[in-house]
Amino acid sequence: MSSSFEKINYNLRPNKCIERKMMCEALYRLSFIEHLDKYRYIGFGSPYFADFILFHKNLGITDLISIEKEISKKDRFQFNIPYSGINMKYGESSTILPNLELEQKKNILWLDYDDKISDTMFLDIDTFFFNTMAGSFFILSVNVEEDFMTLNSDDKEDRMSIKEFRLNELINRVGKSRIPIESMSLNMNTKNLISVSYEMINRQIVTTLINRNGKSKSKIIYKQLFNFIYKDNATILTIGGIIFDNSQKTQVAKMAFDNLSFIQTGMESYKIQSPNLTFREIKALDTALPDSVEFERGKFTNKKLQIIPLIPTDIKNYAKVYRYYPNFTEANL
Amino acid sequence: MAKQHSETDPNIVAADPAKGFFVSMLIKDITLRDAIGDLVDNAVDAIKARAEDLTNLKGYKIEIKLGKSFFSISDNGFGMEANVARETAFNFGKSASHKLIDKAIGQFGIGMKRAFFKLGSNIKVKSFATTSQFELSIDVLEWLKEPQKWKFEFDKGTLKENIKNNSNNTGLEIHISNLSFDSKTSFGDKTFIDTLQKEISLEHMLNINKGLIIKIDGYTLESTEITLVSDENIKPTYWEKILTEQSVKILAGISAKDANEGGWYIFCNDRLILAHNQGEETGWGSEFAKYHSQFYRFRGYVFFEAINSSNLPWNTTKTGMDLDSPYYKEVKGKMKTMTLQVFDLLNKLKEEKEKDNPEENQTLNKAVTKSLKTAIPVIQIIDKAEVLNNKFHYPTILFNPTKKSNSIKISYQVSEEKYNAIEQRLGESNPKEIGLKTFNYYYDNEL
Repeated sequence: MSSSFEKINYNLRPNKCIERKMMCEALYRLSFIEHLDKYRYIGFGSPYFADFILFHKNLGITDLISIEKEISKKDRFQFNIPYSGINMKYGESSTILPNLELEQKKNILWLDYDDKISDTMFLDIDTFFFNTMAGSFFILSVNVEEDFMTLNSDDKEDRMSIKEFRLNELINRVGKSRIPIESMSLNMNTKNLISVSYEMINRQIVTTLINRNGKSKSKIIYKQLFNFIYKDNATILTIGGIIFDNSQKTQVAKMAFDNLSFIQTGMESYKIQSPNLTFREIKALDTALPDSVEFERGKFTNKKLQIIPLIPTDIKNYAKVYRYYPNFTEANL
Repeated sequence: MAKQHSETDPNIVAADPAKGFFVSMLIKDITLRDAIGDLVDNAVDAIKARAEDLTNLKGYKIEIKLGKSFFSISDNGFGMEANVARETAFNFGKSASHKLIDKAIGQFGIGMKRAFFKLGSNIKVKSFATTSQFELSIDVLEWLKEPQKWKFEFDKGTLKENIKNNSNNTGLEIHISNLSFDSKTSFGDKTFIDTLQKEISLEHMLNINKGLIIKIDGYTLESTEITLVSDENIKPTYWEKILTEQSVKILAGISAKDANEGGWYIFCNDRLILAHNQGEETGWGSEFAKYHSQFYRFRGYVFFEAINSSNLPWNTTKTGMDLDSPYYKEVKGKMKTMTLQVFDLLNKLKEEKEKDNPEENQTLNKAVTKSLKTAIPVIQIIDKAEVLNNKFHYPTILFNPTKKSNSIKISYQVSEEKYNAIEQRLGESNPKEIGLKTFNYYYDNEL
């Protein structure tokens, strides 16, 4: 099976691009704890290294580690390393992460999985939350697109309903013991898969922190900040947040994450849906923004918006993301 | 205990223990093997209480005799002072809260008495301590006949107190006769004795290593060597948490490929609690992969120490860990991380051998095989553990798996009749070879 980077050009995933820029804006505030050049970024760069480029350029992080499981394509990864500060580690994240001396440095980790939720992801969550230094940041992205049945048994007795099929797929990937008992009767469509994945990940985080904290007085705390949903091709759920201890509480309060529009501290997701717009439309919209995009009696209260011939939903979605909206154009570089 | 007034006061409800029931409950949840283990643990404690240097136990000795009609254990430890015997040692449960010795392993205030009852019914304890000495005999069957009597007595004329005994001659001797049915049958069973010798030598390998002599049924136990590779190429991962009253140190890495020896070893105050554990207690098969051949080279060692042994996360029979203890949960989390650190190498060793990678290309496997020959005792590594960090080192650069090959696999089925015809013509009986030859024939002649 080929990797996702071979199927899609990462540069052309507008919603992912927006998500990345939003994250970057939030991560910037970690400097209340420590200057970002003291942080380390750990991610799955794939040959595009889009996150590495963004975080290096914008956050000034110079210690960067990219975990790559496909050693057979080593030459291609090495060739594409954009900055010398990026250190490649070949192997599975489940055994690479434990060897990174996570307690020695504040880490920003982005487990940007292409795959659907599976057992080894919980190993990674556990390793990170158990070991990483207080002041670190955790991000995880996972594919939550519902499963489709391609083949069904010819034998009538063995035929599965789509509901059974989806539950079976999930059990195969994570094991029965992880699935919350109240979710066992659900149809694991995208909507339910989002909530079940969210729940399972959070349960692991809570368990790991209980084990880590033991009876010690200085407790490690996790505060969720990200809960994004977007769909470039498959639906992707991203959750994340800051890991800190009692001594860092005041600094974390100063970060004032609440005033960033995309911050989500609970189960509800922030949906990134960038509309497809022409450059002319973008220019016109930008002149009207920022704006509260209020809609009354069939039209926007902002007169500049009234004259743009777009459906209101597109305008509203654009207003949510305009500061992060990617500029794609054909260029002869 | 129960007083006579319960007969006169109608508000009093009797709740005194029935001795027979109490004794049978005590001995039910312990095996004979573990009962003897408890007496050995007590003897080790007494020796450590006397030893000036806890790292050197040369000259100290525990001897166990398993006779046809008797059991005995003697040690040249601290002995038992008469006031300790009077106030705590023979009291059921009391010594649990009474800390006699630092870093003890016989802690539960129940071990010695339980072992007595398990072994037999005529017990004689002889103690020679620095400021006192005594002898004490218990006839359990007689003692059971007096339900109200919850005490024992020193043998007449043996008690001497406020004396100055030669501190080189202190020690304790326990002699038990009128053996229980279990003891009698087991002591006549060579397999039982052999298992006892092997298990006690495992449990006390660190103490034997420090020079302690343990003799069971005439055989002096030898220390089992526990080893790890630690050279310029491969360095074990190390983690420690040291507080004033307690500490834990963890080492993990690789050693000789051995299905039985691989796994986690956990020591509490030098007493081995779990040996080569490959089960859920240490995370195998629940938090990470099930133990199988790929992991036969894995070794992990945990050393718990606590001045007050009630802070050790073991279970009351010292046969395993207290899985609900927050302290053990914390350490287990670290053990899991360290297991995965070593898995990184073990997974790569496996991957390098896959897809018919020629042996000469397996550079990581070759380096590891070479290093495995130089595994050294864990005791030597832990003494210099400050140079290690919480990361498993191995030469990642040598990892050389096969590249995804450019070949394509063909698989098809043919009728037996046609196959046999070609098989005869080619004089080749391997279907894979026949497939290859016929393909090449077409390639050579038709293209």
